[in-house]
Amino acid sequence: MAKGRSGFFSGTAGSGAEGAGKTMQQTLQELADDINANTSGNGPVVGTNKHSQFKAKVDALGNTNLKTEQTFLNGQPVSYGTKGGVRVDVIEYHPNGTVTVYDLKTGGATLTQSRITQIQNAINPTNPSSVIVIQIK
Amino acid sequence: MDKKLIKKLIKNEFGEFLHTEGFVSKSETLFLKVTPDNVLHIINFDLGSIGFTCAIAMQPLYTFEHTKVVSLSMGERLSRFRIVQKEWWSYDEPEKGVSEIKELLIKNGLPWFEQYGTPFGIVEFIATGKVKEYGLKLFDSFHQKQYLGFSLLYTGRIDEGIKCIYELISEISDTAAEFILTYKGQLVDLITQIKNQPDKTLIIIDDIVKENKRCLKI
Repeated sequence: MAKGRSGFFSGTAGSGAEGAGKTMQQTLQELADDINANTSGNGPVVGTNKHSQFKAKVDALGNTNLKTEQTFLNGQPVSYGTKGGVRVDVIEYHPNGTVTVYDLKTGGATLTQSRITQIQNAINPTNPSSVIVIQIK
Repeated sequence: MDKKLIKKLIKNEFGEFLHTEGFVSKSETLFLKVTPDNVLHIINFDLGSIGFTCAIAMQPLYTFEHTKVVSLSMGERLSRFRIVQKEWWSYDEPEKGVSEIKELLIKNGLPWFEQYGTPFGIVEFIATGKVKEYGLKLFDSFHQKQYLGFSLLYTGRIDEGIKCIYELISEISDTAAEFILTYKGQLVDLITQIKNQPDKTLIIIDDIVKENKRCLKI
């Protein structure tokens, strides 16, 4: 289960329920909890390492509604490194057209409103509120 | 991980092969082909933090855009294009990954370009609901309407194209980002112009193509 450190919501639609009664948020938080428990230390190198482990674990889920490390610019998916693009850790596509972005935060970092707005406008500037952004910690 | 090695493998495995398929190398990881009827075929390798992957996409160059970039909207990573597997290939086995990508490109990617990579093909692909069948998660409703509307205009189905672009306009919410609201106004002007002077449609579309090509440097 999530340990109460996640759940910074923005937007209107909820994430879909997963198998075994878990929400996607809970599933991803469990992955992060596992990584946090098995990776010691602090600092940017550890943070990068945790991000890589997290994305690899998400990729291993084999869930076709999830994409990892996708870059967006003004509503367009673009190639890695495109100038001005915003790269998200994990994005979940819902059947109703809304999406949820899971942003992993490590160390003392937290999800800010400006980061949420940046992500929403990068993914769907025509209807930013259709993009939910959730912090995984 | 050695990204230089991956780039070298990509060049060796795909450079000549894609050249014979009409693609031009735009960078070490991006291959583009402009068809005679102005559809851009895209093969893009991403070298990420957990591995590497390759996406294919199509982009109609006759679409009036707010942001002029090589867009992967109408596309998908080959690892999720008509099949389901891990999205990323490991840096631990670069040769194996590059080889598997090439297989998938030949099996699923190039035939898709061949079958649907024209203005008429794009209309068919979107209008007959192939988006779901092929698993294109990134190709959202907005871009589907945008590409369909302009493809209809380009293929001479003016009334249907106008209708589709009005539907596109109605999808833009009042809370849209500022640049999208500007784009909405430009779309309204454009479609009004086409509605009033349908015989000028091809001239208008031709200007859009020229501008997109200029901005994308292709």
